[in-house]
Amino acid sequence: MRPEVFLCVKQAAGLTTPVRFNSDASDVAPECRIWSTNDGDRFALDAALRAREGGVIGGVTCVTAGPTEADEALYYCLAAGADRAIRIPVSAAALFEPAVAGALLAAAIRHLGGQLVFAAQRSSDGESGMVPVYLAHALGAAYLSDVTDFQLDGTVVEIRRRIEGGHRQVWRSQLPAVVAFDRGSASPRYVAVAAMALARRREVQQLTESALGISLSQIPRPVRLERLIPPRVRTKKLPGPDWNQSATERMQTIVIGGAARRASTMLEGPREEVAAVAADYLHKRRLLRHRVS
Amino acid sequence: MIGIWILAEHDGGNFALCSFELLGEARRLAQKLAGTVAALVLAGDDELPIDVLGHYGADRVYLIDDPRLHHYDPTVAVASITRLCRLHQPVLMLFPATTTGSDLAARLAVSQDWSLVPHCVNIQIRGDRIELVRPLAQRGIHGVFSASQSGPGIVTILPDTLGVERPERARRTMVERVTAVIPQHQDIEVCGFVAADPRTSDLGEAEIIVAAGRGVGSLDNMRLVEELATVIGGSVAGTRPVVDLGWLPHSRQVGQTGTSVRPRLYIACGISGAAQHVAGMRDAGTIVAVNTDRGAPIFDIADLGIVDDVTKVLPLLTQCCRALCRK
Repeated sequence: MRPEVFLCVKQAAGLTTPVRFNSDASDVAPECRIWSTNDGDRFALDAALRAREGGVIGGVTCVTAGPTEADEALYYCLAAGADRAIRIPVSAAALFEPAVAGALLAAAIRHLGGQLVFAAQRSSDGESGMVPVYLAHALGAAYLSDVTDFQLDGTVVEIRRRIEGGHRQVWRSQLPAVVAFDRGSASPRYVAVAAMALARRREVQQLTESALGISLSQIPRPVRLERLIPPRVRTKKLPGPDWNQSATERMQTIVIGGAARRASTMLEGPREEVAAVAADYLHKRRLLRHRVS
Repeated sequence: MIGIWILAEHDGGNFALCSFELLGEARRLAQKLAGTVAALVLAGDDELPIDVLGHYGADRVYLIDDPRLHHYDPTVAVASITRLCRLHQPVLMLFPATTTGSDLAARLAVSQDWSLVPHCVNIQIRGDRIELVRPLAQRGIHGVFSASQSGPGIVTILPDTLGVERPERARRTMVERVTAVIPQHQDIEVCGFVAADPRTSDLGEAEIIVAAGRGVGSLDNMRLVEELATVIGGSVAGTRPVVDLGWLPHSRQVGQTGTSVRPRLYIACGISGAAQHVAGMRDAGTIVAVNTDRGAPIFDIADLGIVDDVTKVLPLLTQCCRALCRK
């Protein structure tokens, strides 16, 4: 029997400009948040839908935790082709800790009997990249990170993961597994407005903390937020091109974004000598990488 | 003695620059806390210049040596580091926020219930407390965190944020070879490594780019650019005219109508430096330009300029780089 993919999604919070804080400066004022579906989730969703289209998996269930606003992320998934959607109703503030988000999602997936979990490696607001690893730990599943390609053969998952320098590592594991997707090279699919409108009419199942047998207060929080530091006030003065330059030069400066001139070292003369000096320049600055085997 | 550890990453032959950045930061903290600095090295039969870690501030190096660590194996790495931590009990561990560093830090923290603050930009000592500052969301908001669990605090730091301190060549380090711990149950099997193909790998991920302009002259001469890229482990890219001529696909185009890149090294071969191209590569760490025209705009933004015919100088440069890479 083909496994079902449980896709963890998030309605991420962007911020307006200028940002205002609440009275005790412990959090951003609610009206300064702009909610949108986490960008990385679109790539994970696309991978899940491709796996289903390829007959590798049985279905795609999207799971999120958050307030009513989080339903938008689920509607996006349903509009793109996901089969069903589940939300764990909690406040946005409770999800600030990745440990809490991971524990809640894991409880829901365990409750539903999930063996294969897809998620984005990191969200566009928290950017900690910790939720998938907490999720895997709580489920006792293998954690496969920075994944760009996914294959499933029976109960064996094989992935390619991104590492520095554009190289890839190949990992293999048994189910259960949590697959955290890097953005990869594929573009997420386009969701039409009409499909979104239809998706908003579909049911989002709710799983409460009590139904999952979990209490937010009992989840350990390994780090504590002491305080927030507001953004540094920036000068309103806008830099512009030097008015002593010609119109062409000014245009060029604008196009290249005012790239700073660098103190160039110019090499001319006998070729062998020039090549040796240039190679030595790169070597001394550790810019030559050894070939990877 | 308070121990501050760092993870020293390497490419099998040299240590990554971020390792020296972390050592500098660890040294600064160790001076404040009257502690010592140790570097963790996951080596798989690699010949590494371990002494260099001492020059940059490591009092001790724990060399975890096992062929299984030639390419990062998370299960072996976590088990080995956990045992070392239980034995020596460091207070703080600094990891580079690379794919390996981030993955290892997250696995360690979650499996051992240790605290982790990712992408930290500032570490402050307040009395006996360590406060960690990291950016939150966008718009320049930062959060100040402190650990609420016992065990070492783990911090990941983005490469190129701290800068490398001047090395002290006279400083020596003590090297302790540690046997890797191979757990009986390994939930992940590391079964392969696929080296990046300079012609097809994503330009956005490339640390070294060798780019061709129309000055390369012909499609045949593109092999000179590819050869240099292969020798120095870089990716091949080009300007719009090169793509228009069909010498490279559009996915390899750098510039306003192509990809914007930010590699550590950008070698511009036969590129004049049109504003549209410069807009896509101006943020490169080091720019080397080869062009026959001494007045070409590319030399204005280059760190190193070679005034010569690219088809003549490139084979010689490749030869010299090959010799240095073998050292």
